[in-house]
Amino acid sequence: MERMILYPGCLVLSRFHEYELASRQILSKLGIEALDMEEFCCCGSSLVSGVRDDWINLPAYSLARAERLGMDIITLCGSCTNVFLRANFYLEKDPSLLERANSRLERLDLGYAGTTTVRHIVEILVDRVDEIRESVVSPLNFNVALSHPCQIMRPSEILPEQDTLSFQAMRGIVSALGAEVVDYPAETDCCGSTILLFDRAMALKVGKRKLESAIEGGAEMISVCCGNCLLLLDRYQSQMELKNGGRRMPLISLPQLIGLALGFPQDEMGVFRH
Amino acid sequence: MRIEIPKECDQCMKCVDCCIITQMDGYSIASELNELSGDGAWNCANCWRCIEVCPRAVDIFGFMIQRRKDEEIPELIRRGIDGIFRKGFWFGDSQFNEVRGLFGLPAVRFLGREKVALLMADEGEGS
Repeated sequence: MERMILYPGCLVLSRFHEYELASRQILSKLGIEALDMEEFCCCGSSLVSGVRDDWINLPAYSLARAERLGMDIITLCGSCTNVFLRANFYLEKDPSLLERANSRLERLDLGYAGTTTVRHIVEILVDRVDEIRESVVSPLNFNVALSHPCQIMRPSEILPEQDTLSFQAMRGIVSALGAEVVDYPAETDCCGSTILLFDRAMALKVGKRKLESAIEGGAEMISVCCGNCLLLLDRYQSQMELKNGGRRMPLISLPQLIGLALGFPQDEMGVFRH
Repeated sequence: MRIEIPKECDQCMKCVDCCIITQMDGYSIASELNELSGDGAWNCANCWRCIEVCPRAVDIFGFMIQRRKDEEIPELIRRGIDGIFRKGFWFGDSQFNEVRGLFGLPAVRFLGREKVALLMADEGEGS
C-alpha cells in the first residue's frame, strides 16, 4: 500500500468531516494509506498576500515533516494546495529564503531540502480514473455541475512543470461515475469563498451567481473538491436567496460522490449532512 | 504612502474584466491597478485569473502585497493569526477532537504555541 500524508487543512479538519471521512475511505479503496501529520500546523494561506512576511515558515514546516518521512502530501483544499506550491516555488528559486526558513526549522529539529511533492486529491483521483470507472457498482443517474478547486490550477507560474491538471480532471472523474456533467457559464469561475474574510455581502453575491448559473444549466447537484467551495456554496447558501423555487442546491464533495457510485453506504459517506 | 502602479502595466483593463468581484460591481486589486478605485487592496478571491490574462506579466501579486501593507488587516484574518500563534490552527474551536471523534475521525495534535513561536518571527517582526 502506498503511503502519503493527508493534509486536510484547518477548514476541512474542523468544518467538513464528511468530506475528510470520504476522502480517507476512497484513498484506502485505491490502495493509498493516508497518514496524519504528527503535529498539525496551519499552512498559512491567508497570510501570504501581505499579512506576514514570514508566512513561508508555516508551509515549510509541513513540507519538511513530509520530506523527513519521504512521503508526498495530499491536500483537500485549493488554498492549502496553492500555498504549498507557492512555497516550493519560492524556496527553489531563492536559496537565501530556503536558508532563512531552515534556520527556523532547525529550532524544531527539522530541515527542508525542497523535495516534497504536494498533490491535491483531484490529481490522485484522476490518475486512477480507470480503476474508479471499473469499480462503479451504482452508476449515478444525475445531472452534476462542478465547482473546481481553481487555486490548484492558477497561477501557472507556481505550478510544477510536469503539472497536467486542468478543469477536465473533475469532469473525467464524474463522467466515469455515470453522471452527466452539466455545462454552465460560471463553471470555471472561482466560487468566491475567500472573499468571506473581507466582504461577506460580496462573497454571497459571487456565490449566488455561480449557483444560479448551475441551476440554469440544469444541475441537480454540485460536486466540489475544496473546503472553501463547500464553505461558501453550502454553508452560506441559505443567505443567498437563490432563484430556485425555494429549493436548496445540494452540494457534495467529489470523494462522497465516488463513494456512492462505488457502493459505499450513504451514511458512511456522510450524505445525510447535505 | 502611495504605491506606484507597476511600470509594465498599461492599464488595458483585462484584469478588471476577468475579475469576479468587479463583475459584481465591486472594486478589487484589479480596480486599483487601473486606478478606478483606491479601495480594493483586500478584495481578492485569490483565483489568480488576472495573472493568467495579463498580457504584460505585471506582478499583480507583488502589487497587492505592497498595497495591503498600507492597510489595516481585516478582523477575521487578525483572529486567524491569533489562532495560529495560539496552537497552529486557524480556528478557536472548543471540543474540536470530541466532535471529530463522533464522525470516527482521528484526533488531531497541534504544533502548539511554543513551537509555533520558534517557527515564526517574533510578533511585529514578521508583519
